[in-house]
Amino acid sequence: MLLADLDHLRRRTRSTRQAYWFPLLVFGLIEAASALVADPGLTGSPIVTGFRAVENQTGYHTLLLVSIAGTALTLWWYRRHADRTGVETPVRPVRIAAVGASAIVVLGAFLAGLVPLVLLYYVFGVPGNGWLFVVAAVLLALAVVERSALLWAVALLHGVAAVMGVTYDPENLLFRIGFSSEDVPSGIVNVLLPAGVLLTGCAVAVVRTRRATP
Amino acid sequence: VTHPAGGIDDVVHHRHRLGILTIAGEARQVEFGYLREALELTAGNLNRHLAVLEEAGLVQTTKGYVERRPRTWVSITREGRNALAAEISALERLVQRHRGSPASEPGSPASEPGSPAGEPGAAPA
Repeated sequence: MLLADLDHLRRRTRSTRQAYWFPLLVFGLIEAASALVADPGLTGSPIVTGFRAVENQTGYHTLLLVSIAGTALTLWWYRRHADRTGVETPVRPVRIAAVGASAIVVLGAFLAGLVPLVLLYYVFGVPGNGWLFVVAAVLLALAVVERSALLWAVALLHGVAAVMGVTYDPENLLFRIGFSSEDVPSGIVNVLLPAGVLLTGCAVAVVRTRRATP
Repeated sequence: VTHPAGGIDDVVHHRHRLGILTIAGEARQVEFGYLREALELTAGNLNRHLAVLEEAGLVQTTKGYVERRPRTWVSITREGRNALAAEISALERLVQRHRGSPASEPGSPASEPGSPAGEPGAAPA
């Protein structure tokens, strides 16, 4: 009886503490919005469209900064949620993941300009989607501290989609299952696939939160 | 032969103190008001239990302000986490021992409804 009560208390506290729908929404929107940068035809701006090329990485660096800003917004959100509910999530691993992944991406992009290693060049140089690694790392760290099976599933699926978006053009995959690659530019597919995972996960999380609220 | 309840710590074992540690173990820190509401305790009662746990080094309390309102936050220490894990293990062992004993086997007189061992709450946890 006592063990069951303790289990109930633990579940109730966890349910009150969890607030991951917000970061899923923030990063989902950032990734969806980045499609504007990924496709030259959508903006027509020569500045932001050049991010996919090594020689002009303005958009690439902007998106990296935006993803770090998204992490800062996420940390603010958890602080606010703690003040409102009285239960605080330990977000230190999220901060560490964001700083570590950003450092790796920046260093990788720097090395890609210096060392003509095919992998580095391809991952951090040509597609310019290395910032997706930062989002993936933050979400995986969040899954650890949130202790949520749903967030784990979303973070892992997003990680796979992000890795695909960085190292392999998913348009090839779409082409194989019958979609014409000319209909959807690869730059858009690269970011819309992980964005779709996050926004779907966000919708499920919101529904679950509403059901759990008495 | 060790006593079945040998692993149980009197400081931790109290129902409400176990509740405080369980809730605090699920978060970085919890607010006094949340603990009071979740455990259905008065402020004075909760304060007394927190004082016992703090004196044993199992929790830490810090005071702060949210929108000019004073707030007390409670966080579990490493010792607190270890004590909670040890307590839960001891309770689970006790339950296992009870379930494995002949008195709790189906069909035995002691496990029939109405008998002391078969009554709800007869198990220690």
